[in-house]
Amino acid sequence: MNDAAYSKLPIGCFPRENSLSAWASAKLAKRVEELHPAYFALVMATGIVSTGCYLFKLKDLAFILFAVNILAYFSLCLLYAIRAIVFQSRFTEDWSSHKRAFGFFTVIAATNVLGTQINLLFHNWQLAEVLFWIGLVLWLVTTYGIFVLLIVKKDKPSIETGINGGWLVSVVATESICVLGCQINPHFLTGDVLALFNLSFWLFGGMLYIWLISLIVYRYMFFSFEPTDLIPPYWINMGAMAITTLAGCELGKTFEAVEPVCQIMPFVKGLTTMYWATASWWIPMLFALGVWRHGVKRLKFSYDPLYWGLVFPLGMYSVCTLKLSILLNIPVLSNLARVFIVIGLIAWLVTFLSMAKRPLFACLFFVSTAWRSSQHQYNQKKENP
Amino acid sequence: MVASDFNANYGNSVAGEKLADEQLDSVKSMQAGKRLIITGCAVAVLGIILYCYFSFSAAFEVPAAARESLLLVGAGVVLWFWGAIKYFMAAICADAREELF
Repeated sequence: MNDAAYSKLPIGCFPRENSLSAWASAKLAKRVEELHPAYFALVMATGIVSTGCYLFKLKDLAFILFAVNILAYFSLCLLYAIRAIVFQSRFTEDWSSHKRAFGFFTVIAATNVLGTQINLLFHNWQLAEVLFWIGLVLWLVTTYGIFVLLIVKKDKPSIETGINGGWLVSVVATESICVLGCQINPHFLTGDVLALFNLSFWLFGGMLYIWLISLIVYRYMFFSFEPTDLIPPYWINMGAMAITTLAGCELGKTFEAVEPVCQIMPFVKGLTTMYWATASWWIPMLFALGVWRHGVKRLKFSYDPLYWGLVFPLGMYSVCTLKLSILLNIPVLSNLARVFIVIGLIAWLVTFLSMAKRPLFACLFFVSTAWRSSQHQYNQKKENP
Repeated sequence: MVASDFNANYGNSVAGEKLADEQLDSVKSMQAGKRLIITGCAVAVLGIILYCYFSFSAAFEVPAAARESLLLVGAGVVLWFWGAIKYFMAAICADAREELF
């Protein structure tokens, strides 16, 4: 019995238990097949909000969020692996899709954010280093894989339909390598080599942002823009700048006295401040566009995994503002960071509860239908022994 | 759905009236569930704001009031779950799953 047939099933008409479980498995398989590559944004968002909580001494929440994050990370790894094996063609298709390919960069950012979290909360730099190397290998495969595949692809969409804010996750992934690289002391990379390595990632990430944001703003200004086009990952416009600010702050703090960073310290501080100012500029703009989308155009809120791409920038802006206030010695900035960690926490909770709705409904539906079915069979047996 | 719609759909038979009553009960349960969802969400958000406020106000140790606010977050989440279960069970009973799933 298929999905449509089930939805038309009148009350009092009960399916057989075996067909019900077959339907449930088919439904689950469909969900895995359609799993969005950007789902790791859940781990990114949870990780950065947890990190922010820890930095602001909200330690209870930081550890609760860490527990959620570990569960989410390994569950998603398992689901991605199943998808790659069972639904190979769909998985491969995603790698050369202009709309979905950049979602794979969330895996790298999530791995590095988790590493940062482990290092900060438990001071376990060995495990953080393992995640750093995994992240670096994934970055190499994903960056050169996706960009090459998209360049050599024959049938390409127009810029109007092909580009979105989600492309900037590639910047977030690049900067996340620098952030974790600054916090731990990876083997094979020491002293000035490590400083140059992190500096290169920070600078390249900034350059990638300039390339991509030019295309995104061009798309904004010169093509028609519907409320449905303004998908939540557009908040990454700000999030990418926020993580670049954080990377600059970490770089300035860790390698202040190490070559070649020490030679260009004013440049590092200046560029970091510019990135923070750009991130701050985006906030009212994105808020206004959100009001236009939901307030003026009346687009209904409904859960989408891409909403995690909205939570992450809020948490990241809080953390980067706090770090910048320390780097530039401007304590008043930490008040702004506090406001944003509260907003980030609320956004995280609302998104998480919205996400929980669907599996909750599926479980209740399955249990209630199975129960009604078994009751019906029992009654039938009783009537016709 | 109003009573006249039910009469039009099910007629005035005893079975029709029973079904109409059941449907109305489901709709009421769904509305109650929705209210609980909104209340739960509001309580949890309030808990977060209070937790942050008390924690930020403290100089060193996390005050007891902050921990209590965390309980408020938990209570809000439990309310939300209760409301969601109530809403979904009523929706399943009302055979409205096509719209939701």
